[in-house]
Amino acid sequence: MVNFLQLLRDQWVVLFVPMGFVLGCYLDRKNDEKLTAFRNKSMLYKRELRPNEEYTWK
Amino acid sequence: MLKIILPTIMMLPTMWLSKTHMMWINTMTCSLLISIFTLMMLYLPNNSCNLSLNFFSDPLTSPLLMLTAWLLPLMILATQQHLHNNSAPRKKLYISMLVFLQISLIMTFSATELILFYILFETTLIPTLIIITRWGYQPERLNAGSYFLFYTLAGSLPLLITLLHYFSSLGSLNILTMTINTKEMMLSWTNNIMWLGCMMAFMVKMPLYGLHLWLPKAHVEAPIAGSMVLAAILLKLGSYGMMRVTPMLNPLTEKMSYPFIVLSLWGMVMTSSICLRQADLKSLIAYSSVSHMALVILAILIQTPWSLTGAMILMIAHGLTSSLLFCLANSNYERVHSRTMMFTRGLQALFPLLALWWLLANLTNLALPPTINLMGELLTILASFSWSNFTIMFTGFNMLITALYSLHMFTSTQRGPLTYSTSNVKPLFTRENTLMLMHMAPILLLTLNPKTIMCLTP
Amino acid sequence: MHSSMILMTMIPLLTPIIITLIKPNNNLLYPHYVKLAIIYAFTVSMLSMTMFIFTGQESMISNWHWMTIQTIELSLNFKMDFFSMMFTPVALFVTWSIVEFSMWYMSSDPNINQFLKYLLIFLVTMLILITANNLFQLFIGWEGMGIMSFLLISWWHGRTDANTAALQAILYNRIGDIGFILAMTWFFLYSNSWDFQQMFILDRTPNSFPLMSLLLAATGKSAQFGLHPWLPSAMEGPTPVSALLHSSTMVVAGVFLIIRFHPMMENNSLIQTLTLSMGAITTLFTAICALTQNDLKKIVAFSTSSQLGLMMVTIGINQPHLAFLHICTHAFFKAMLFLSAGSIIHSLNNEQDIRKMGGLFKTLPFTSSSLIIGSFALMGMPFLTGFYSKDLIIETANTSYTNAWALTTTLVATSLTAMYSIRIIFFALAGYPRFTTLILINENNPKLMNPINRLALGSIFAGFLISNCVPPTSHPQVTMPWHLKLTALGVTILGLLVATELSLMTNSMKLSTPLKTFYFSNMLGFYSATTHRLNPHSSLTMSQNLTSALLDLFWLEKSMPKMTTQTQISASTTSSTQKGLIKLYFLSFFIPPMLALLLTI
Repeated sequence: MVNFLQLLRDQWVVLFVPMGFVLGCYLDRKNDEKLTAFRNKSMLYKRELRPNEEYTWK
Repeated sequence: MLKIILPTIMMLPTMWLSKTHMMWINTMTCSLLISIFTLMMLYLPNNSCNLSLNFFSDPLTSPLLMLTAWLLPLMILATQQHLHNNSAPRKKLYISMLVFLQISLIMTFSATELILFYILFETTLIPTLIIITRWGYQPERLNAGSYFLFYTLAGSLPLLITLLHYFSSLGSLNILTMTINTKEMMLSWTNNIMWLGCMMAFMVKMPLYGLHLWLPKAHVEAPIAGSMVLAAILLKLGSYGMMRVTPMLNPLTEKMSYPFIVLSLWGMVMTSSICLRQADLKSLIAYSSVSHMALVILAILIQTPWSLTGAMILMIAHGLTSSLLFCLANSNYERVHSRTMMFTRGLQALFPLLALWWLLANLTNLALPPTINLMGELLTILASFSWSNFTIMFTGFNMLITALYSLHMFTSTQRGPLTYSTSNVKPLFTRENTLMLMHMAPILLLTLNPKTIMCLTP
Repeated sequence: MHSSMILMTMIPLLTPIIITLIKPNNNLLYPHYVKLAIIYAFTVSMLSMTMFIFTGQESMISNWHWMTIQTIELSLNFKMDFFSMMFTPVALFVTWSIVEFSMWYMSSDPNINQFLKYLLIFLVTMLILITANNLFQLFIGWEGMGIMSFLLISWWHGRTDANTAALQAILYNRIGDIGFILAMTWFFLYSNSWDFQQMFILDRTPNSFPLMSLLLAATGKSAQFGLHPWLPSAMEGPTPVSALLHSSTMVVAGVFLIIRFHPMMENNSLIQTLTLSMGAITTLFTAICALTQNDLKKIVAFSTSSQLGLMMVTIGINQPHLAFLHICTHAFFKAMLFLSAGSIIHSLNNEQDIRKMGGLFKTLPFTSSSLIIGSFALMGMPFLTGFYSKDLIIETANTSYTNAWALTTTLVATSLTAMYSIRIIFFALAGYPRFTTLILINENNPKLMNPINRLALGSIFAGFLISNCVPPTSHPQVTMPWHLKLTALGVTILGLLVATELSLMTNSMKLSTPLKTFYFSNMLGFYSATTHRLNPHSSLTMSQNLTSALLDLFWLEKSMPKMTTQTQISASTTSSTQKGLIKLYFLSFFIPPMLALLLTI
């Protein structure tokens, strides 16, 4: 445990890149959701909505 | 796409904040990590294109993106010796230039807007220029830098004007909707000029024979990382742009492409025969990449599914191979301290492993079957043969000369008696062997499964 | 069962190559691994060959789909027909002997393991070529052999001669490769496939164009006239390399390619005639060149070239099975000739000049007897191996209504074969010794004797065995007038007699300046002297002067960047008021004080 903390204190800079990746993934996912939201309205992709679900695009 | 761009941006604070002795290791691990992330580009479920409003990737961009991301760790590996005597902040500045170049390249390849693409296309010039003119070896680097800058700028300013005109007439320059949106371009003077405006920027960047003078100069003067990235990726920007722009220039391309096809056929043979007489190792490799890119131009202008696939394969194959050749030339240079081939002879006796890398590099360069280089060349030759039978004279002759100068390069540097100047040299580092292996491994793996880079046309 | 046995021949050959990747240290036992792998592969391939002869069942293995280009599917595809089944054991047998021989010949070389690995890789590429069922796979083997020959010719890479010879081999082979690529593109476009079956079905009477390009490919690889000079130059390599690559296996690849494509060629008389004429010219020309050479290996090399020409002639008269038979029989005795030559050269301290030999049958009885067997087999002495193929070829040519000139040329070349063979025997083996006395001659090494022994047995019996296995579909005519039947023998005996008579005369005649014809033969028909000087010189000068200096460094540089700078500079100087005349500007400072001075006065 101490070793791990030591390692973390020395090498914390390396965490930037994975953080960037996680952030990027999150933003990408959000963007995807925003774009797929258009699909709810289209004739081709629309599906039966669950009981308490609303159209994402009105 | 942000999941690749953001980590790459994050590399800058990582590098600047890391301790001096950890800097190389940190940048190396981080850049390798990013190149692993790019593997996700290959996964395209339902043919959706990792889409967002600004960035996207499709089978044309994803191999190039992967190549870009893969090349950063290689460049970091290759420059360590070259920067050995520099102070730590300078090293960090150099690497941040490379990272900045990488960011702009990734964004260029994945941009959805042509204007955005244009801006980023020009942005890549800045770090490259700084790398060449600040860290080059000789005073001629300033001259080379100005050649590089002015050729590319003079070529690409007409592109900006043409794109603005398109934007005002079409209302959108989105690449994805481009083919639906454009009207057919008929043969007329204005359209011809538009075509030239669109294509010249990329032709200069490729470079087309006649507009290639900046390339050997820039290659010869650039430091190793600069040469690698120039040969491997910056030239591919030109071909990428051409492949993106040509769909909106139909059917004019059929007519307009004649002089350029002729020029690239002619230039291919000319530049190869220049290679036969080059005494300078780096300049030889630079001219050989001009000759290979002429094949790519030929393939793109012919515009059949075969030729586009061939161009794609050839782009990736040439990127890896020429970068490997530059690394090898740099390894020689760091030991013999001269680029002249006369001084580097008989190195096989001293570095047997280096000789193996040279052999493999030259064999891929001359397109030994079954490497992907051969697949690319074969498809290109096929497409050009079906376009016109006479092209085989040039392409066949080019094959012959390519084999000759590649093996001449191998024989004159590795074989023969040792010269007196090459005594007291360091052995090959593990770092350098790793570097060569990391170039060679993708070529071999892609040879096993070329489908990865040829799904451009289904 | 059948196909798994094929894989069993291929896979063991790969193990020694893989071992070096896993365990790269210098292993003393490595040569034995290589030998064992080849012996194992040979045994298994013999089994599958006997099964093939028994059942006569051709087969095709298709596994591992490599890639799909639009409509063409490329996969790993092996073809097990008569040619590949027969030639695989022959190639393995010859390689086995040569590998064992090189364990003796190269034993002082520190890199012997690498040498044997190269030989093995070469063998694998050869087998890929033989068993390939599509054109692309054939091309892999084709190019792989070219590259391996480059590496092996320049094995002693400190010598400039070896390096140039290797480059020369690549150059000539590459010219042939252009033809191969051309054929590949043509078939891709017009029959939409690279598989042999589909190409043959679709093109019954094809265009001459792809066939001509295939012929060009074969010309390059099999050193036919025009592209022949690389083969004698390749003798710069070590003797085992000459024995394996440049006599028995690699150089026949071109002929093999033409045999593979024979279903397309048999109906095209233009190609037939071209092949026939080229083969005839080659066989005569190289036989003439062989007559006056003094280098032992070069003579054997030229005889190889001459035999390759004979194989081409055989294809030209529409007898691919006969040509194939000659490939198989030729491999045995030519490999043995080279091994005997290697033994002689090694014993005489690397002396290759036959004028400095002589009397060797006393000191090297075993080698000389095998050399004699090999030479007689080459001449086509009845009931030795060469007889079964060569005699048939000459007879078939005689009875066919073919180009009489080509036929005559071939006949002359056949009699010349006897002449140069007897010349080797006469100079190297007979007479009295002309070598220096302080040489330790020894041939009692089993690693030397066993391979030669095996090949000698092969040179005696293989022809009989193999010619019995050729399917009867292509058997040539058996009844003919007796004078035609005896032509081959008669011509050979004529050559023999003339040669002995001439060599007797050389001993009794007084010295005279050689004739012009002698120079023609000795200087290889002036071919190398003209083409090898003129072409490279002109092309290199052109690339230096025209492309590099004139176009690139002068015209392109002047026309764009330099001209822009010039115009910029001149425009700026004319338009600006600043001329840089510093002295004048400074002088102008004197004007106000002067004026002030004047005014005050």
